Amino acid sequence: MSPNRTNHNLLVLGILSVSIAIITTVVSLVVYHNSGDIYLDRSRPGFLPDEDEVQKLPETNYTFPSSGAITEEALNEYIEHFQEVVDYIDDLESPFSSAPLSDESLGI
Amino acid sequence: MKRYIVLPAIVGILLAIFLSRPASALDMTDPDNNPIVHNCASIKQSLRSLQRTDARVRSYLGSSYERILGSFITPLNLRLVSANQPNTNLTTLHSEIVDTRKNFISEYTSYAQSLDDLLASDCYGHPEDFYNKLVETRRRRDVLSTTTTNLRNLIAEHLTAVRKLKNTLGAKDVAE
Repeated sequence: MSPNRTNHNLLVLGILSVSIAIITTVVSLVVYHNSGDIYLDRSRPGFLPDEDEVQKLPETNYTFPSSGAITEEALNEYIEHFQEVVDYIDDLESPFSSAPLSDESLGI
Repeated sequence: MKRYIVLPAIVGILLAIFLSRPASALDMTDPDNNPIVHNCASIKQSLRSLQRTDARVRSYLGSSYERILGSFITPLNLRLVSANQPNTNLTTLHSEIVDTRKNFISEYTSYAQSLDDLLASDCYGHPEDFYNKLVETRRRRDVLSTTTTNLRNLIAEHLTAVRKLKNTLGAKDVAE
């Protein structure tokens, strides 16, 4: 095979690979956007909280054991840990209230 | 004499009509006096900031709901079944929480899409279109807010049911 033909084949291979990469990337981005996953992505660029904005969930690896007897003590422990998560939810000030979109808030 | 009564009455009625105009009744035909056109940049800035805050709140709420279901409610119901003490009320609440959480995810997605559309629309050139999109975004936000409240109520109901179960066990121990 002549060197010219080899160079030509290499060029075609390069162009083909780049084209396939671009097409698959565009398709996956369209699917990512249209499926709504973009809005649920916790690592979405520009939407990550700043360090002072982070409101961490209570740091515990507690999981209620799915086997064992149902006793008063077990339920007490359950309620205590459960309440921590509920308190965390209640600390979020009126999530999705209508105020920020009102005419007054937006200056309309 | 009649003139002194009728004139202030007419002025009063006109004033009342003017002051009771709904806030949303914007004059879209006059771009010079349209607050959407005037405050377009600041409105968009507020919406961008709200979009960021909402994404964060959704993430916090989503993690909490996930933890509540995965680390608490599901294992408790499994344990009740394996201990031969199934509780219908807790099982019903479990499925209601799962369903409402699904609604929360889809309603948040729908609201976020609407807010994205609103941010992409032209408030300088098409204020009326912008306002219509704003009204739609408000509607979707209200739906989402109601679902968030419903979920919080269901979680409270679950906690009450567990307390009740605990008290029943306590009473049994005392009786034995």
